Amino acid sequence: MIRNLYVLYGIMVLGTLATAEYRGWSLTSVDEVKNVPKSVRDNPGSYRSVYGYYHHYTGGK
Amino acid sequence: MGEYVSGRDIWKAFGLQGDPPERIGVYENQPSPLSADTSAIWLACAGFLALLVLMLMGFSTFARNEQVIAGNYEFNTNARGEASFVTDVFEIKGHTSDLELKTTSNVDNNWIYLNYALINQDTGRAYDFGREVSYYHGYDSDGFWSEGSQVDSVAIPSVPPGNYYLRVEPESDFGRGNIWYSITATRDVPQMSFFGLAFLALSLPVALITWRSLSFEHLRWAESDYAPTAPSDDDDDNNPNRPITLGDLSEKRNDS
Repeated sequence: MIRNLYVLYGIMVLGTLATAEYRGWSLTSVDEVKNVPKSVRDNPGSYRSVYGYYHHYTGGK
Repeated sequence: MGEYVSGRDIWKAFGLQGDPPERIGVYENQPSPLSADTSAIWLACAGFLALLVLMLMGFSTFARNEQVIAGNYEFNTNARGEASFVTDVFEIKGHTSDLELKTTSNVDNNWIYLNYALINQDTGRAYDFGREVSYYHGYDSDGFWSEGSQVDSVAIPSVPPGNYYLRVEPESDFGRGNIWYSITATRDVPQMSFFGLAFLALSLPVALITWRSLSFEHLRWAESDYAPTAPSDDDDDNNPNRPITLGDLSEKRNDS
């Protein structure tokens, strides 16, 4: 019975892997923004990035 | 040796009330609940790992790995004003897949942060993310050290086909001169990290089941007087089945 459960589990793992590779999943998360106006191409500064305007890392060792 | 019968079966056979006492240890002929399955599970695991390797080869071979945009840019950290810009429109073809964005820069004991937005020209849908490229190095009492890298790579997941452009907004410390960087976007790139995760997901249960099976057998042998272990000083010297030691041989020579 454990063998049958493992075979089922293995099929699920490989199936999930195949889906992830085909659909282009990634471990990175990005923010999705909708309805970006077409005027951004003419005026890139008008777009407000989610990640902008924070003080970013400026140091080293 | 007889036939092993569990306490529960005995209680049931004699119609006894309550539960039998808890089992202590493993008896010599007590059947293992796992040994019959372990070899079958290892065989299944080997089959799945072979399939995993085939999938790795298949996806690596048939992935598009198509470069959709590449460009070299320069960021003047001395200039004030709007630093953001947009690239030319490029087409992403095929089915929904990932887009790998690679940023390479000549930063040296410096950093650059890039606010990216991958914007679909037709639907107005955007993927917003930020990436930092920093590289520091030097010498201390332990010798040479380095931190970071001049190359950064990120995979944007599940990007549908369409016409896109990148909005890029670089940031860095003011007054650090010009920073050159290049951006390359490649469509449909296999993610090796998932294959690594699948390998772990397939191997760990098998390792756990094998460990449990071996633990069971170890408990069985712990009850035995003839366990295959090194003899201790407390062993009975008259036990004919104990392993022969060098001490026995030298005793025999002295006797003769």
